[in-house]
Amino acid sequence: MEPRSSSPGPEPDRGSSWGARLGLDLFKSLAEHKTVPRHQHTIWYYMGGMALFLFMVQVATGILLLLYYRPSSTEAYESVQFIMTKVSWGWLVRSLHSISANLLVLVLLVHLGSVYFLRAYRKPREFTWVSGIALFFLFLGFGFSGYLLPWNELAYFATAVGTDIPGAMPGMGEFVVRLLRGGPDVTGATLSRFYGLHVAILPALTTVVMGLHLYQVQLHGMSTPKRARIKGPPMPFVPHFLLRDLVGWFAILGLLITIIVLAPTAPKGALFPFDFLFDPKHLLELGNKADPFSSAAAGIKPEWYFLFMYQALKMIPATVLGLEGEMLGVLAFGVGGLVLVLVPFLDRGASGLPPHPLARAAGSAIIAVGLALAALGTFCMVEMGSTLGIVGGVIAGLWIVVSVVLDRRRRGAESLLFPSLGLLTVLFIVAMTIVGRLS
Amino acid sequence: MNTRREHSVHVVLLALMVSSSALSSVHAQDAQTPPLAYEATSCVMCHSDSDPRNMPPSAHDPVEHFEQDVHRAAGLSCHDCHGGAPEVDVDAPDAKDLAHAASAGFRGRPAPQDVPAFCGRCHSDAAYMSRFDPDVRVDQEQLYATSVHGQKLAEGDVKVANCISCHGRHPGGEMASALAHGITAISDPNGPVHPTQVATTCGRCHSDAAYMKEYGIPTDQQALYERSVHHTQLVEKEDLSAPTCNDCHGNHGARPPGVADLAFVCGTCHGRQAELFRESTMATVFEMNELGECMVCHGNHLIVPPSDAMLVSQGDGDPNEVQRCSDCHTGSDDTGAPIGKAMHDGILALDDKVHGAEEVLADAEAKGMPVSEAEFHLTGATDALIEARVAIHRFDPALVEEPVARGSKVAEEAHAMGEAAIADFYFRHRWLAISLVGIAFVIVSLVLKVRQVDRRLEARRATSGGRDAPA
Repeated sequence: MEPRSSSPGPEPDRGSSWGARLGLDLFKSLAEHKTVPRHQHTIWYYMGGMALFLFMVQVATGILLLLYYRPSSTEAYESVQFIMTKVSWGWLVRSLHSISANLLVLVLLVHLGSVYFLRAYRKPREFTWVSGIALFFLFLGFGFSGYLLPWNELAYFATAVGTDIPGAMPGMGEFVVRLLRGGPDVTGATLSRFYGLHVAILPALTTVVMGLHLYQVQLHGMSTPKRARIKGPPMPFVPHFLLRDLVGWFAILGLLITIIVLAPTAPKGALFPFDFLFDPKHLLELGNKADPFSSAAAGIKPEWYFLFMYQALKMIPATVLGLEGEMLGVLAFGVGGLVLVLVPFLDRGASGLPPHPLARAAGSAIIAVGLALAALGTFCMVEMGSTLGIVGGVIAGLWIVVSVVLDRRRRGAESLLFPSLGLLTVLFIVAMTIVGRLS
Repeated sequence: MNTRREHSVHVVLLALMVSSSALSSVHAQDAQTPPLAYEATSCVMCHSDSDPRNMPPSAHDPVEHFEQDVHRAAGLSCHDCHGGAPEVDVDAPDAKDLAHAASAGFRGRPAPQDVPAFCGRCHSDAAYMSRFDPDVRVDQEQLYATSVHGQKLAEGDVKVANCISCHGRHPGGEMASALAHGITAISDPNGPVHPTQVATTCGRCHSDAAYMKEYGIPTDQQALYERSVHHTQLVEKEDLSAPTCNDCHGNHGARPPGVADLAFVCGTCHGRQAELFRESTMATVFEMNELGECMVCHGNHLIVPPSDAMLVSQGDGDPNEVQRCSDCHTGSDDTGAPIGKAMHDGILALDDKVHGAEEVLADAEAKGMPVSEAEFHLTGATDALIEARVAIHRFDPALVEEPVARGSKVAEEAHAMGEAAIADFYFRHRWLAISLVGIAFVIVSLVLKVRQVDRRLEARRATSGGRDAPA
């Protein structure tokens, strides 16, 4: 009597190669079929890859730093000092982590701006945009939480100021502040929380959201602006686009190590006019250890990418129309963030048209005003800041009006939402500056 | 009509309420009998009278100057010091006699020899003074009696300083009333007894050659002190712990320190140096020869910053300048000079090493290298250098050798750390150059590869008639 076979039948042939057995053929197939459009705006496509490369640098250097970093208020500063002075190549690893984090935010901003101005967020790529914005916020969270980890004077007081801002939120402000700090003040408990956020919570969330983002990119391909001048048939992603990506990656790697080695001896103003925003020497120097009992050192300010918010909140008067100014500012930034997430759903104008001039001008004006505020935040000169704030705001407003007047190619029923928002932002800043100056 | 009547009733009721409230407050005042306000005293009212027929202008000074007086700020009034009746009717024809009556305890203006007791009436009364400050001293009068000033005053010399000579403000003139009624708080930076002002206050008499002629003492103390390291520290560097006249001479019990006391006087601040000196063989020799200990080498009022050269080189003969070892140890068989030289050479060698390490570390820091650990390490050498410079006060080379050896080792280590940091700086630059060459090579290779694959793709597209073809 022959034993009965329990097998339902012969196993399907998975192929003889390792790639087939590991399921890598799927990726190979995707890579072979993925193409990249070629037109005058193709250069902006490299920003996503550049951000991915810098993220990989962050992960690699972050893992190495984990081997030595100690997340406690008594040891954090000393451990970073140890990494910088005693650990072989520790100075390079920590400096790469710090500088590439800043470059990553810069590249993300450029990436975001290019997608906005090329209107690449429109149907069917709404969720590519939403996941991208979520990633942007997550990286800002990485920046904010990572800033405190060296536990130096600057980081301590900047975090104290930064974590104080949500306290202005009506109703739940106090709760959010305590949640962030792990108590009423910035202490070792805050450091533990920020460390947990930085190395566990945010990376886990980022992995999920980045997977979703890349899946969306793969699913919908790259958006081609309808009026773009096509320079030929799309190029294969592998190897043509990937090789070009690699050129950029190596170039930025060269830039990174050059900054790291030369910045400590760079003369003041060497990066003019960008030195007011991005000061690598300042990023690499540890300064003094945080002392919660000392008075705040002069020149305390957040990372450059939070400066616009910091300065705007500083310039808002204490009360506006009987309401608390800071609360209004926090709410305005909250609404601004929400509008940014909802851009694809709000901009429902006819697809296939170039960006509306007002939308373009509003975006440009917001960038200009953001830069102006960041500059003012750096200079910390209230009087000069007020004057520049008014002048900058008026110029940005005129920019919008002139661009609309000059544009004679308006077609279709474009939504006035974006230009209105841009104009309102400018007017808000100008009004706040004037009220602040008068009061 | 009714409305008018109602209005009148309201007015009457309101008037009654106001009067009853006013009356009740008057009763309350009577019950409490508050002290007479300073401005309402007959003293102030008469001494402020601008009619020269009633009061000569000079009699206004007490009231004018008392406005800025620390006693006025403490709530005291004229009669608290001078007695008398401050509540007399100033319009009465015999107002002055009533106010200045001995029966009212009027004490008037004290004679110079009575000033210490006049002030001491309150300032020696612990129970009274504790009302203003529980920790206040009440021994000033007692100390003053032991001072040269106090003793001479007791002998009838009214030129010597009494309380108001030092504590009264000098608004340009030297009028006794201005001084007496312009007493300032000790902590007042503009007051005459604030540490930064003491030398000027003492010098007002002690630098006046004509005034001091009969006492036969020098009058250059203030001028010398103002060139000293102590004055620089106190006035220019605003270090209130630096000494001025009263820190060495005492204040209320002021007297010149005795020759044998100098090490103790200087030792109140320079404790270790004084201790070592008293242990040294030199202390005995100085005492036998009645030499003024610290003063012999460092001077007294003019104390210039000491230098290592004091251990070897010849002085310039100025008795006010520092004295060198070789100024006294001149003989060929004198062992003092070689001892001085041995200590000098050891200290100089350590000093050179410390400065060398500081220069290397400063260079490394200017190159952006983190050297805080090395800088901290070097503080061990600077501490040893200070220790060696203090140790010379026992005049024992062996005591100097130990910190010199220890400091030299630390300075050499810090120097090596600085050199390592500089070497690391150049290594990083070489590494950067090599890495950039490598990266440039990779980028060029990638660009060439991009061109190659582009050409191949175009060729494939050309052969496939413009249709896209997989790589």
